[in-house]
Amino acid sequence: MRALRIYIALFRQMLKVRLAYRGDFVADLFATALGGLASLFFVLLFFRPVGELAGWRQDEILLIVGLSMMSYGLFATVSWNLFEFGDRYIIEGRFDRVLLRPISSFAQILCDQFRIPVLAETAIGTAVVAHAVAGLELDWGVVEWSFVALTVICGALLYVFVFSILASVSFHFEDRIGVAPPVFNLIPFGRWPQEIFPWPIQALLRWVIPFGFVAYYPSTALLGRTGLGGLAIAAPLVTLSFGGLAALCWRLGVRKYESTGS
Amino acid sequence: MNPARALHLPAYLGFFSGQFRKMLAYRTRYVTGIVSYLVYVTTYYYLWRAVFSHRAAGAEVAGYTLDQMVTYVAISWIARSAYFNNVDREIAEQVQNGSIAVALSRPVSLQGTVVAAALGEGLFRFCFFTLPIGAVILLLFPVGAPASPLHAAAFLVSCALSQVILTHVNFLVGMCAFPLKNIDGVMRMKHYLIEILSGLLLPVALFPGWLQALSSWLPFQAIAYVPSSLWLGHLRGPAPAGGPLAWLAAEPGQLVARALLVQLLWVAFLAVLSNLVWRRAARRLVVQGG
Amino acid sequence: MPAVVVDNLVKEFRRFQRREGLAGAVKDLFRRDYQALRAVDGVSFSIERGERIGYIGPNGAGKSTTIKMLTGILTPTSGEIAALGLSPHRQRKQYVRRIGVVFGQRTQLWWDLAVVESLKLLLQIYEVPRAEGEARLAKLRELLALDEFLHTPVRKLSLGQRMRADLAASLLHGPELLFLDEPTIGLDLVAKDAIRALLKRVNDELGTTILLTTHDLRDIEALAQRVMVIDGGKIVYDGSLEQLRDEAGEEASAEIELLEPASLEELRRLLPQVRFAQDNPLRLRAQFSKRELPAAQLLARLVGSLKVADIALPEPSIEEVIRRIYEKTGKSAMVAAKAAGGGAAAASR
Repeated sequence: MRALRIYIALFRQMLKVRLAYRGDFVADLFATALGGLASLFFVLLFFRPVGELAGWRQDEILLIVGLSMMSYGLFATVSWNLFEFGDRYIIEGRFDRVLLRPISSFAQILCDQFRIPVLAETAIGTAVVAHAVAGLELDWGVVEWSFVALTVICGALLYVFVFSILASVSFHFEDRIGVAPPVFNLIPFGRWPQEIFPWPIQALLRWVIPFGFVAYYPSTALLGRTGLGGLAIAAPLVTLSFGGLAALCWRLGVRKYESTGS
Repeated sequence: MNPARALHLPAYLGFFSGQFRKMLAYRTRYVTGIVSYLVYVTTYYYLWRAVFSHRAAGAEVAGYTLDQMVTYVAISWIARSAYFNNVDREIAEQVQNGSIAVALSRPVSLQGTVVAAALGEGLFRFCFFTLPIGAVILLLFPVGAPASPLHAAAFLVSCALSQVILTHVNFLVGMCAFPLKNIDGVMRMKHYLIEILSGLLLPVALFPGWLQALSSWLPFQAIAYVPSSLWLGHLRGPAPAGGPLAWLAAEPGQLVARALLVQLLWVAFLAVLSNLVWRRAARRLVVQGG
Repeated sequence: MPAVVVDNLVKEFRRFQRREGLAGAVKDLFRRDYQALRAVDGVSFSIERGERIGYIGPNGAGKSTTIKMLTGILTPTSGEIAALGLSPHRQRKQYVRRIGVVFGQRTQLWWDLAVVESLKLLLQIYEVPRAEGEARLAKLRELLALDEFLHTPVRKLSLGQRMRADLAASLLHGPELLFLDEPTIGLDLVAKDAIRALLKRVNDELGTTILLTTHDLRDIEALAQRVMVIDGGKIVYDGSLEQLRDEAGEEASAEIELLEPASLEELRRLLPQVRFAQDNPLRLRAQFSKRELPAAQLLARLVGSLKVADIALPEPSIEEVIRRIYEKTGKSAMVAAKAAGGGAAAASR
């Protein structure tokens, strides 16, 4: 509880700093909105001449895309540092300062660059989901919407854990870019029905980099499609186990930290 | 532009090889870059396979067969691996740390050095990214051969022009760092615009009519859609009826020429625009002392 | 019980060796060469509570690496540290609550926040009780004259102001140990003096144990009761500043101004133990060993035989003293080789 108070104080200060750079804030907001709309636009452009994809209608695909965008927006508010971790913290040496404070180093990294504007992606995702639900004439009650909320939160955490595992690789190999970009590029894979991919890719997105659990498997449950029920509700378990793995990797990384920044 | 300045070749060569060497220093970027391209092509390949899976053999979607669509996607990404650059970020950094002022004291034009460096990076990327990426993609996916030797040659020229066009677009985005403190937002917006409007993700021919008309008045489709269409010999699209070059028509040779002409016009237009913008910025730099 | 006990501390790094030229860069792409580097090589010492210690050595000698292990940032390759009864890297959160750290090269504060906001946030992070925190902040404001820039964002501070703000940040939670890595680097003389005076007061009034590294030997003269010299990852001297001077200070020199020119040959005959050099006919320099010839005797002989206008006996600078320590411990070859840029040359000398 007292840790939470500290993090809230950190958040508030960082938020104030972000808001002080109003130009950046607005540009970030526009760019995020444009990015969200571009993803949406791609689906619409794609479906216009195509009509149907492996038995999925446009609105069903939009449900997956919308859920994935909601999770991604939440993740991106806190995660920017994870992508720049090797560069900002290891090579430029900011991690020294982090280690000198008596609170969790990982939490400090997450709090250090809080980005409000990317919540635009969550907002657009919410609208997309709402549109899809209306278009599919689904009659959802509290249970379904609670499941959506749980899915979104688990998805966001799953992204955080996966990318923090990748960020902790920076402790061992100094490199400005890091190993996250190719995994980041896997996110779009998770926005399509998995059955269109051959089994190695399906397995990859299920067991190795489990982006399938962010939106696809939960969507199959929400849409009442058969065959994947077990996996559909496994998302929280997958998230939890990746949380454990992420904590372990971070710990090992900190022990290896060489503080060579100048 | 002063011709004596523009022909200062050895100086430009220095920028060229310097950029080349800088690129080699990043091993991880190299490996992750290759993997990223594979991921993209794989995604879109399976997407299109799924689309065509319950259609008759040889069926078309918006004028493309499955084979053509796969070729389009693969070639677009392979070409991107060569023409892509980060000129916007590099210019912005120079503006932010003030080192751009050095350009004023050099006996060569800034634009010339930027284009030379970008071509240096392009050659590097061609040798070390495009060749391995292309080889892997050609092995894994059923990519069609170019429509004819003429189209193949035109494709290569077109890729070089794509690079010059993108460099100028990036140069202009980088110039935004003069009025703005931070251009991350602008760069991201440009990224999304190019991704959609260049035809990298989807051929422009799949766009609704109004968007096709709009794209033909924007430089973006000249970056990806034109070279890939040249490879495919699929040149119905680049200037739809009503577009600025619709009068130039019909035979394959003429179509190829028209496609390259479109790119050349964009190169000229963007070069003039970039030069104007830089001159204005430079004047302010001199007056305000950075 | 000592505040800090360090036993046989070792830290090794692996360094990537870049090859030269274009061909080298291509090779690096596929295979990298690494070289193991022992930055700290079996260092042992202990620090009592309330001590002020100067930790010096040439660049790359292992000073910062030692400090970073002492502050829990780096995990030692081997060896043990017990500081305040804790293991810095294993009990990091518990430990850093009780120490203060200042890195002269880089601020610990938030770049975009006003000084006062940074400090208040730190009070929350260190969970300092409200009354105690406010009292300490008031005291530090007065001690460090923070009020002139209390509401300025850290990025807009001058270097001297930033150092004062950083010192405030490091003292805010009442640390028992204070580590400073190059605290006066880049400051002007007035600011340096202010920082030194302040550190002395902190040590006197609060009993805070201080360990600082520096390149400016006046920091050491002004602050350190005890000096540790590290070179090549090993401690080559550990003792008082006076003893350091004495040990290396047998060699003395004198500068002599004359009213009338004197013949060098004559002087050399008169005082064969002394090496004379002539800057100009009216200015001499003499080098001698105090053991062979006490300074008083030298003065008497000179005044007796020459028309002397002035004699000065400058104290050896600490640079000089340290250089001599290196000579004594046989490290000079390494220092010279390092200066020339080749580590391998050391073996041949």
